[in-house]
Amino acid sequence: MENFEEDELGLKNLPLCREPWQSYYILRRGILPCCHGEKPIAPMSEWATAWNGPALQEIRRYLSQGKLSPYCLSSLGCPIVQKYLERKKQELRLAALSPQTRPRWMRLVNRLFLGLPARIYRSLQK
Amino acid sequence: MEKPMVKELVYGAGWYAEEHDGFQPFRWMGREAWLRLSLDPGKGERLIEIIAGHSFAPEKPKLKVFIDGREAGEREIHPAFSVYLFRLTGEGEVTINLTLNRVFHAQGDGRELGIMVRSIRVINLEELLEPLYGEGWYEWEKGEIFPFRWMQGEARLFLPFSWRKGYLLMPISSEYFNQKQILSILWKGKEIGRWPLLYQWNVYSLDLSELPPSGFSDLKPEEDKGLITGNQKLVPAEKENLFNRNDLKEAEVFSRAGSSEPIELIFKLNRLFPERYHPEDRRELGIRVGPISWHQDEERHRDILFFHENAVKNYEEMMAGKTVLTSYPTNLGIDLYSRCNVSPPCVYCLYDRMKILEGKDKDVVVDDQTLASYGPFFNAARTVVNCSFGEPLLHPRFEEILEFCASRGKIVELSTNGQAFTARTIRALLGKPIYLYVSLDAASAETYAKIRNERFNEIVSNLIKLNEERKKMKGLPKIFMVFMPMRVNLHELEEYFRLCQRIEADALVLRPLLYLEKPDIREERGGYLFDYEKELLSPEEIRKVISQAEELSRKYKIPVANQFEFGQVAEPGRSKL
Repeated sequence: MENFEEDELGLKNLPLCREPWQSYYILRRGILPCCHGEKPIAPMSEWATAWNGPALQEIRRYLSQGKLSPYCLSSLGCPIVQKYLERKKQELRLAALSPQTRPRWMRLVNRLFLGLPARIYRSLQK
Repeated sequence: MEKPMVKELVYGAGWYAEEHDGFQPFRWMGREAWLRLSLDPGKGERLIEIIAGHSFAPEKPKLKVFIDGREAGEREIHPAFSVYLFRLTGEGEVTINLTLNRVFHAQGDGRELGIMVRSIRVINLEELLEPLYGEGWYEWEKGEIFPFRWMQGEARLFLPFSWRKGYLLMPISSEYFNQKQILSILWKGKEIGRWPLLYQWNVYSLDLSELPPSGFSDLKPEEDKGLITGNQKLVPAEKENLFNRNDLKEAEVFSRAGSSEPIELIFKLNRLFPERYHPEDRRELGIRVGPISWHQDEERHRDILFFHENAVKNYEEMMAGKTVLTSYPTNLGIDLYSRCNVSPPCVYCLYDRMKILEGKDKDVVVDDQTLASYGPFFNAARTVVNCSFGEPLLHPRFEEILEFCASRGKIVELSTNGQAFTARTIRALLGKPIYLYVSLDAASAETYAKIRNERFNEIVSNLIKLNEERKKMKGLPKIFMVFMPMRVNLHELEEYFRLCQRIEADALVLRPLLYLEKPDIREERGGYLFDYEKELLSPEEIRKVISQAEELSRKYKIPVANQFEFGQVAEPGRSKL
């Protein structure tokens, strides 16, 4: 038996989503790269070519760079996208609340107006 | 199964009285013990099979077996009950002596304890009709898909002689996602199969027809580590003559030569399933292996080879971030039927919108021939998933489609509203590797009427009928009861678990209601105004439902398949449903 490394099962470092490599949907409404895909990427009859067509290539390219493609981000029914958007929303909220992340001029304005602009911004966020 | 050829088995000195561990009886053996067998006169090779274990993990005492004073071999005995085989010689009265290199003392038990022996029997290898599991296999366990045995790092398997002219079919589940777990299969020391194992359950096919008859083998048998070696019954002259007779099939040759030695295979893994992923199970675990079968369908064998080769390549291309692939997907979505029997459609269904999107393709025929025409896209698929906006059970060629997919070894996933169960559709589903997702979403007729119609009780009674029928057919199809948490049914989650228990469902599926930005879907049904936007739960509410479902799953012993976790890899040791 060989010695084991830390991620010996290979469960880490997988793409954000594996569907565009492992799955393919040939449906009457069109070709979909996954079961949560919002818009078809090609008509049903083009199943033989759409597998390596420009739309799927772009989706794979984004995922291989650790990002979600515009196609994925428009497929709001996807639980991966939902989680991603929820996380992003939370990050934005935290960033808005954190004085360190604000630009210098905004901090200055804030100080001049006793923090009123930040309070208005936060209430709008809510 | 092979006939036990023991007339009488007498336990001599060294054995304690029979006990019971809650599953089956066993006997403790001390440092030394003997027993006497009275064997029927029989030709050919015989083995004595001892199923033994002990409760002193991680120790592995060594058991030495002597038959009529001659040493037959030595084995390390694992704690979990396992099979140990020794070559048996002699006829009539045979005395078997067993000795252990060490014994143990349990607290509060004054006895000197060695190993627990569950059973001892004699096997005539020439009468073997099905696989005989030797060392390296644990007992059968109940799995999510089918029963299986865990294999250790190395294991031995005997196959009937008649299996030479065909292919061995093995469902195997590996915990390695990265395909770094490799299974080698050896016959008389020669590697006849080497598979990088795919993640979780997949079928593998091994060509046995290429094996030369063992009596002719010029390969050296495995160095004796107590393993059985091939017999050498044929004299060289016969050997030469027979080799020249190419027109004769090997099986015929062997029956003429009077030999029908079974195929002995050694399975070896390069890596185990690491113990840190199963700390509560201290056994040496390698892979799970389902029921092994045999076939003679060359096309099926080629299909499986293609599937395996493609799946390996597909993983490699994904990990390399390739955007143009030479491999094909391992999961194929299809669109079987475009019409539905629930009219008006279910309140949340986007049926009408989809029919507009389908346009002229709405009337395209998709059947078994269509699937065959997908060529490598169909051949490469492990799973075929129906995603039609239409009820698949209404398809006029439903039986033929399922028959075709089953004959090609595909797992078919079907979502159904459960309103098209007839004697015909039930018969078509039975005994096939099908995951049937039944969309009920309600545990009462009242809630069901708010989502669909008045047919709740009829569906439940059909599901009970289907469950009774599938029990006679290896528990297939698998029944997964779908529950989409929405405001309309949120109060019925626990009741839905009870319903799953009644139906004896394999799992409850938590499926998200499709998120739509501005759905603008409102419909009055069953005295309830279904407003799509209001039915969607917030992330916080969803988290609550999931944790409640996990709790209820433990209470009602119904597994939960959580589709909110789409895209996540299953926890090691667990099958992703």
